[in-house]
Amino acid sequence: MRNVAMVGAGMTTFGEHFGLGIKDLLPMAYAEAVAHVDKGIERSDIQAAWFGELTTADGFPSGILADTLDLTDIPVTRVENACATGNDAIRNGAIAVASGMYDVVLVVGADKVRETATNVTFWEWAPLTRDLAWDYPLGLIAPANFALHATRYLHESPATREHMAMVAVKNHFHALKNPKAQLRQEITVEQALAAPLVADPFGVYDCTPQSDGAAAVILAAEDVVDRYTDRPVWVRGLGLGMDRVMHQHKKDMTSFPPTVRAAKAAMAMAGVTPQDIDVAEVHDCFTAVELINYEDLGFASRFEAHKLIEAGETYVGGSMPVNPSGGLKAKGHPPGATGVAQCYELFNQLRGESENQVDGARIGLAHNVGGPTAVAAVTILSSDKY
Amino acid sequence: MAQLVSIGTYLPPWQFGDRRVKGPDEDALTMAVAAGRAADPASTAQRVVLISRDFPLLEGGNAAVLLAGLSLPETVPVTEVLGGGPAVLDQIVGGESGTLVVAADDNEAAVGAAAALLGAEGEGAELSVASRQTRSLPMLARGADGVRHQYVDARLQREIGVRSTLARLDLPAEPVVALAGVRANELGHGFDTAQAAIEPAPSAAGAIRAIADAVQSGRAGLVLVVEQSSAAAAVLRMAASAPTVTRDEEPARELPKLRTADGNGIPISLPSYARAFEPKLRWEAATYDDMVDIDNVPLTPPRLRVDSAGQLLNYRLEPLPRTGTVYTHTTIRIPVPDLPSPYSLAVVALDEGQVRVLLKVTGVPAGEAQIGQRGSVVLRKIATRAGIPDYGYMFWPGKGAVA
Repeated sequence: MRNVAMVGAGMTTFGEHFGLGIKDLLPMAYAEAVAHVDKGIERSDIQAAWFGELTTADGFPSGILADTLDLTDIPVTRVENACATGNDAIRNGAIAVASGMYDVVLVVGADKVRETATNVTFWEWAPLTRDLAWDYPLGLIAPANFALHATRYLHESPATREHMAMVAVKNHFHALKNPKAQLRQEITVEQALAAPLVADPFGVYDCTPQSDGAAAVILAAEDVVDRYTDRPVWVRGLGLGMDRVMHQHKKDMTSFPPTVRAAKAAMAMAGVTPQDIDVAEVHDCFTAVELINYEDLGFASRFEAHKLIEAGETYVGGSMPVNPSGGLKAKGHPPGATGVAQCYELFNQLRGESENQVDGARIGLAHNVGGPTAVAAVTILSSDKY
Repeated sequence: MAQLVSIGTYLPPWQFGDRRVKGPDEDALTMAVAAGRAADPASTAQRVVLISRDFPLLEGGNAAVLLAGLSLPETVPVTEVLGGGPAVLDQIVGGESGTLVVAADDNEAAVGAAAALLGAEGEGAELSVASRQTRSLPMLARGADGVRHQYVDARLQREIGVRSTLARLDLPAEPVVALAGVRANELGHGFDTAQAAIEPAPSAAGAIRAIADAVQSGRAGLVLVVEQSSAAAAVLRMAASAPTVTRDEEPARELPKLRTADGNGIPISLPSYARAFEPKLRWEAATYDDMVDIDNVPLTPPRLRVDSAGQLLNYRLEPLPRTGTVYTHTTIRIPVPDLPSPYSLAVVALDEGQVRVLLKVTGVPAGEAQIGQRGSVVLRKIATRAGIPDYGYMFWPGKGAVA
């Protein structure tokens, strides 16, 4: 397999883009990614594209990407893997380059969650991840999917709602410096704890907002990387993990086995351990999920995640900075775009160009979990080729 | 003449003010199942008669839900009778041994259900026809449009509906031991109601509930049931063995304030509904020839599986336990469109094995379920989807096994 580099990355702001359709967001993200290619890139250099979109807006996804970017001469494939869509799209693009089939590929992720009325979004999106006869009519809204895990996690571990609030405070704080973030206001632990409950134990500030947005990265083979940049970011590890889909079939709901599986695969491929990771963008759709991720990704021992957040170690400046972009919690979460946008943040971090820079970051990890908790993707990027 | 061997009753665990009311997940069918299971816990009935004026599925479908909920085979005939209290008495006194007579109410006047299992001669208590009158005084009228029209004149109901009708009955000189559909003071002179169990609200289930009271008190005598200006009378006699009476009647709690936000409705796929119906309503899981890949735990919902060599695995459906313990839970506080909110969900570890199920919580206000709490699964209406009631099981924390 050939080494694969990320030579450009970009994203739109995340937010409620009522004025922008998916056909607007895709060219915007692509233009941003091209703007980050140090030596420039021509559209004709792109030989294939992958498009991560969880649902569809304005037509069938692959066609929309080919149409909007005038890439009708190359193959375009849509990737849908629940909330792991973004990082899985990158994985597919990277495998195609590593295989030798293509030298340069484009990976785009996008979604428009705010394209439907607030009172129909749930019932429209729920069939994507739920059994129609058994789970769908229960009213298992997105926060409830994860709240079932969080309740059990809080029951078994020393973590409390205060620790969840600390995660929200941290990620809101990180988002203050991120011009792309949806929620750019500082909050306090007291505010988070006093906020109305959505699904116990999650209050409003424990939840990601609903977002629209797009992100794009350009991948190139080692053989051609010099044409585009002298400062590539290397795709060192790729992992995808699965689990049983229905909650009732999960043995231990205090952990996400897909994350453990994806991380193990990605770290083995990259030849790194959790301690080697300098900066991570992890899936914090709900605050307790970030705590569980610390353990599943190996940043904390089992049931000791609360110690990391309590000690401030996951802030930029701490020993294990997590979600310097603000994470899904504050940056926003258009599912198809989320993983790609995480890699945009890491691309900047590893090139020393992030608004919220982690000093000397050389190895970064991006992570998604979803479906509701039945799939995870982990991507490990590095400024070092080996 | 019929022999009552077992009686089961069900009342919803809710009240609004001093009135019993059903929960948002209940209807005549779910209540009929609760009462029927209480009366026939071993699922022995050979035929079922369901009497109600509040059938949820007027175009058909009640019977399949009822049989599945009662764990009776699909081969058991079900007769749906549109009627009230007098019709219930008719069905009991005219019923054969092995018949389960279920009465259910879901209207402004009454909620709840009751069921009587009939046995062979010499078993249980004996109920025989005394007299019957059917007259017309539609004080309350309801047609296909479901709109209720009331003619308000309490004196007319008392004089013509009750007294004039009762005067036409040919009754034995016995004390009234069970009175349903009418208050004692509306009967007029000549009736000894001093020892009577009375269910005054117009209802179907009230007749059986009053009989249950009389049976438990060991009183023999007249059973009198009135609806508008129709009446049925029977004589209750105790035999060697008293009928079993099982009451699924929790003390009522104030119905929590619920809100259903407007949405576009919850869609349904009927093929998906039909595939799931049997295991979902009969509460069964699949046991496969090869269980290694699923940790030797029966699988719900059942589905086709293959073994490591790619061969389709045979499976059989086996009943799941109906009691369990909360493993984890959440309460959805925000108003979810088209669902009465707030509501709780729980992953429940069922007894006698390692099968877990994700269920909506019923029977207690949202937010009460706790990890480690025991309870029972009960048939409920999970949601109404595109106008179609979607039945399934919910978890009732703190509820002991009834049947």
